[in-house]
Amino acid sequence: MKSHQTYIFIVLGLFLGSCTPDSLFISVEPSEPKTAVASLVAEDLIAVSLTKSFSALSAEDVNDITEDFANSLLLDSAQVTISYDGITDTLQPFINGLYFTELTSPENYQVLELTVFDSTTSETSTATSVLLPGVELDSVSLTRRDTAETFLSDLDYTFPDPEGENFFVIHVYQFTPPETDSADADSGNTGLFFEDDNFLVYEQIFTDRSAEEGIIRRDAVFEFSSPVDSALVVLTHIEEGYYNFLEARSRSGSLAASLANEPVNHPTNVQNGVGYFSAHQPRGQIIIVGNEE
Amino acid sequence: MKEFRLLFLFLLFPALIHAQYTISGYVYDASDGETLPGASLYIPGSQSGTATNVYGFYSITTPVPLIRIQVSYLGYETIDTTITLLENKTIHFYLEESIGQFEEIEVVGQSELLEEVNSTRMGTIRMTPKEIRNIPTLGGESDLIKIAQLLPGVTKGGEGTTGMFVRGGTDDQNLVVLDDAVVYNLSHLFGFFSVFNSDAIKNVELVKGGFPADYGGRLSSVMDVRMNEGSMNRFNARGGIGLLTSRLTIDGPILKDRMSFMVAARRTYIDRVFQTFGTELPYYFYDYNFKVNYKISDRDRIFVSSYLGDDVLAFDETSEEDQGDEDLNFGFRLGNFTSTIRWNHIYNSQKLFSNVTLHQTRFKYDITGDFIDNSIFIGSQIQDIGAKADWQYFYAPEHTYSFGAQFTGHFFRPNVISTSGDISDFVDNNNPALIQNLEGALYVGNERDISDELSINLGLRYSFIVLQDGFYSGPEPRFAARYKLNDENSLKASYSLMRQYMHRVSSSSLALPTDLWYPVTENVKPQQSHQVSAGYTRIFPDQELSVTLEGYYKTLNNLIEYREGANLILNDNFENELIDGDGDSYGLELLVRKQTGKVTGWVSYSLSKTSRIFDDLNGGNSYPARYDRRHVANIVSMFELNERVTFSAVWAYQSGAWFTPITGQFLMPNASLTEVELIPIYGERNNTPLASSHRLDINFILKPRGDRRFGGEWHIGAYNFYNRAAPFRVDIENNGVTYEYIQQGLFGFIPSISYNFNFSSK
Repeated sequence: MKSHQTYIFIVLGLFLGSCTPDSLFISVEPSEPKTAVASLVAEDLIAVSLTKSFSALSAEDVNDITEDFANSLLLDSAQVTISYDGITDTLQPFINGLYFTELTSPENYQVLELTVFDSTTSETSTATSVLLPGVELDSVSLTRRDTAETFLSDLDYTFPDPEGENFFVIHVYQFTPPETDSADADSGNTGLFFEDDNFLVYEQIFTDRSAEEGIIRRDAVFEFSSPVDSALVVLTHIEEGYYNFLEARSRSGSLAASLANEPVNHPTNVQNGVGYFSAHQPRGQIIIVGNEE
Repeated sequence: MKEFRLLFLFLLFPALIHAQYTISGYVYDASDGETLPGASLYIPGSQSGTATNVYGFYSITTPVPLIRIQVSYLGYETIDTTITLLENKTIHFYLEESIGQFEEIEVVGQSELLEEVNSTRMGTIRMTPKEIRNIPTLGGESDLIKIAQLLPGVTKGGEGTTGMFVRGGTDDQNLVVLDDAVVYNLSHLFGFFSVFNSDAIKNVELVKGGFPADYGGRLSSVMDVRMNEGSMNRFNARGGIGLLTSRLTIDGPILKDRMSFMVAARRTYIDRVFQTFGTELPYYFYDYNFKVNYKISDRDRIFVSSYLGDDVLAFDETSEEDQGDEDLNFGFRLGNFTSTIRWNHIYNSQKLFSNVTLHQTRFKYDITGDFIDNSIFIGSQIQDIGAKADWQYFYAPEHTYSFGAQFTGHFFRPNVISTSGDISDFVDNNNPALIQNLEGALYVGNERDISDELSINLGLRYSFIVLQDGFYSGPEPRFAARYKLNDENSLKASYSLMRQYMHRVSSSSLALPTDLWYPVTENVKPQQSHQVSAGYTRIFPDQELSVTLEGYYKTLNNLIEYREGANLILNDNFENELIDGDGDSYGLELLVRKQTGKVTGWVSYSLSKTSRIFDDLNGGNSYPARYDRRHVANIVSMFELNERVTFSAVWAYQSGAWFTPITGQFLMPNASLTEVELIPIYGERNNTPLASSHRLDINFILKPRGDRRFGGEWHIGAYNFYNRAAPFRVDIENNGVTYEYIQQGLFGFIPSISYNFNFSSK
């Protein structure tokens, strides 16, 4: 009897399966490649990352991006300048579409204007951003409360709220210090964030609306992937426009996820381009993760 | 305000003129005593007529002491009689079902065709149970909503689903009432089956425009569904066994000619079938319809009716070997419950008819999940309790008044979230306070013939809602006119202003039964529409054919959408995610319909364009609505090949819906330049059309020899006969080189077989 039932199911399955209609294709016009901008300021150095946008159907997620394809997206031969207060600094190409320069005379709250001329397409993209002061964490603590399956941690931190309306983003990286006797240490290249054990585990954007007497106190719960002893906490003071960009990014998903979510068009301050030029200055601390009492 | 006073005076003035004799009563099905709503009563001498109201009641007042009257109803033999009127009379008409449509009955249908020319009603289509039962739909199950989707001006959402988009409106702008109780959720099985059991349905009317004043509460359509009342003089049983569901309906007298009942039940049994094969399919749905009809006297009737339906999914994967570590239980229960008590009363004058209704409806869903040491509950509920009173004053056959009042208390508890375990660190509990408000309306309407050619229907409705912290209200004027060119041709025009005080919040990409109904608030304003329409009606009595051509223009205001990237899951603050905007729609609809004869059915075509404009979407530019389908054509036909074989076929074509694809991407490091993400670039909203869809469904109805008491029918058919993919969802596929957007069709060729039976006690 059992074999008859199996036979019936197989026949029914084949019958209905053979009648599944072929899918229909949708022709989607890809958008024209545009210059994509990202940036940060570390001490007096400003770094700008330049790539080209590409067809939506080239990759479903970052893991689909092959090294060759990524190299083809890098904008290595652009002329990049930053202008402010009558000064123009030219950025030099470094590696992987990254351009650097030391700002000649940086001051907080200066308006920086970025100009990118792509010699291959003769297109020019421009953007402006305000150089916001970095904000240091006054106090930060991470307390682990591991269970057999989870590695939850409580994050508590405080920092001073600068004058005016402010926007921030905080990142926490799972962090394993490099071996002190490794060859990399000698070369000065720690490869900190490209090691498998060191990656972003928490990101949150927020405003200063909860500030009391000039101090912002916040907490969060997140999960490490493994029981770690230390972590890198990075606080960044950002512009409202970049905050909106990051908020949009948090709302959007992958190519596949986009089918179920509402479309999100990311705001940009780049004329004739995409991404966001932001002169923000991250401030980080490596901290020891404590255990719950 | 002065304008409204003048309007009332105009409405009431003719009532002061005295008329002479009145005949009134009900029109019944002679075989089982059920009333026949919409039956035509035509007076050839004056070339005027009327129709029974939704309760089967008519009233004709005339100065002529001797009138010839023709009473007809689709599928029934016409009564053609002359009545002497020297006093007011109560006369009930009992129509015999026509034995078969092979026997040509000359007058059958003609009065009804004339009514189409004579009536001021526009955008209104009535469907009979026979049409609903014989038209093939998915899996061989007859389905009211799927058939409504084949009417002009109505487009569907996703393939196979019960979403209805009427004249550019949204799915939540359709008021669907079952015996006067609102039905909030129209679907079973995630949208693939409607909640209406066709065996329990007596009459369906869909109104898309030219709304009478007694209809309100939604912008785009009203679907008025009436349950069978049950036979007063014999017991009947009918039912069916299909591939997915079985159903049984029993009706009959409780007190002969005084009181009757109807009980209908339907359930899927695919879970049981799988169980017998040792496989778990933890899903089923069921519904019940129940009605009692008590004729207290010739002037008073009481109806009590109720509907209960649930979808249940209960997935339980508890590991017996490692109990506790691998436990996973997930389930949901989603369902409607409605109940109604109605009292029909005919006043002494025999011209005034009233209906008083108490109704309540509840729609709720619960989603539960347990895994390891965590549990989550998500629930939402809306409950209405209301009362309405409607009066109709039949001043003369060509002159009717209607007025009434409607009040409904809405009780919402949306998005209750309760968690325990580690998950509570990530998902906040949410126990919102009960949201209560009171919605109401007062209305008055007057339909009258100004001359032999011109007839108008004027109405005024004043609607309001009282919120916990606010109040909205406004007038809703209604106007319809008919100009008769001759007995076979007429021109019609109408205008309606509609207001809607609640929204259903759903994603532009997905429409789920769990979408939230949400009331207007201080920030979320009532939706409003203006619709003007004009049409031409022509009948061909010899061919028993009617042709209707209608054009419309509709504006929609205060529509809501989720803002870009809105978080649709576990969100306890919907108002922050909503934005409001406007829309408009215009179109042309053609309907050629034949309801009697060997060949029946209709051909419909709609040409329309629907746009939306939201300040916060698409850069503030206008964009096509998701279900803006430019061309929709349907051919629905039923052929009675002989007394035992009927063949029916449906061919349905629709232009594709629209979607917003990602057109580009770029790599973007995070704020610390430590990680890289892909950022999507979208084009204009809804800038890409999906493929058009078309399919052919066929159905053979074979009737073995039976006797007068027992009859059976085999329904053998196929859905999507030529196996064409009808886009159901957009997907991404890797073809080995790159990705591509594809549209997957959910249902290919699906054969079906079912057996329907009916049994009568005499």
